[in-house]
Amino acid sequence: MDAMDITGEVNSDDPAVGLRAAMALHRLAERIEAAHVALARSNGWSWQQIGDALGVARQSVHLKYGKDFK
Amino acid sequence: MNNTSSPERYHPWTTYIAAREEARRLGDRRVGTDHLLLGLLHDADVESIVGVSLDVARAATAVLDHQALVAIGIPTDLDAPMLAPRELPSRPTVKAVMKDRLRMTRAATAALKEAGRPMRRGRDITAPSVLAALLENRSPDPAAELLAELKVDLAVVRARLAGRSAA
Repeated sequence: MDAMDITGEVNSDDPAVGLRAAMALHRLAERIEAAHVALARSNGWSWQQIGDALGVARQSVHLKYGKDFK
Repeated sequence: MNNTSSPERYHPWTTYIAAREEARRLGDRRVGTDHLLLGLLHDADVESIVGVSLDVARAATAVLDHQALVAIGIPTDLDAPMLAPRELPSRPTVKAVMKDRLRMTRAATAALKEAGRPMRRGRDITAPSVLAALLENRSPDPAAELLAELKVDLAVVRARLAGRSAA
């Protein structure tokens, strides 16, 4: 896959590009989530509040981030 | 302690752990062949065989993501910091492997299995043997895409690998 092709003429009708974009968005979402969970913790948010904000259970946020952000 | 856990001896878990941390750094929930390739590049030997540094390969991963987002019309300045890496253990112990385990994709598992094949003939699995297994993958495999983006000449890499195993 050539860099010039992608930025130039292609086209979201190439599944390789579209799927890569979806994956890139997943990655971005995970990193944005992690950065802001860290910020929320340092601002004194509880795991419950963070879970509510993300629409998931308190336990699942704590399980995912508890070791990284106390 | 038996010799499989001595630090001088290569163990595929070393690659798994490095690959897992590469996946985590990017925000991925699975360890794929691209992460395996990045994990292998933690090894200076592999860097010289591939002719690409870990930092350059990480940058190329970001470029591929960026290009794909642009192609579907997502603003190009969208970015988020990479996740903070966790410290790699000095030894690939079971504990280090099981801690914060991320599952591997089927292709990544297959590459590690393939690299392990010579072991049945009494030879050791090595970082270069994992690399050799990854080279067999074709686009759209993530490792193949990354190698293509890096403009790595696979024939040259295979020749270097062959030269090493002959030595």
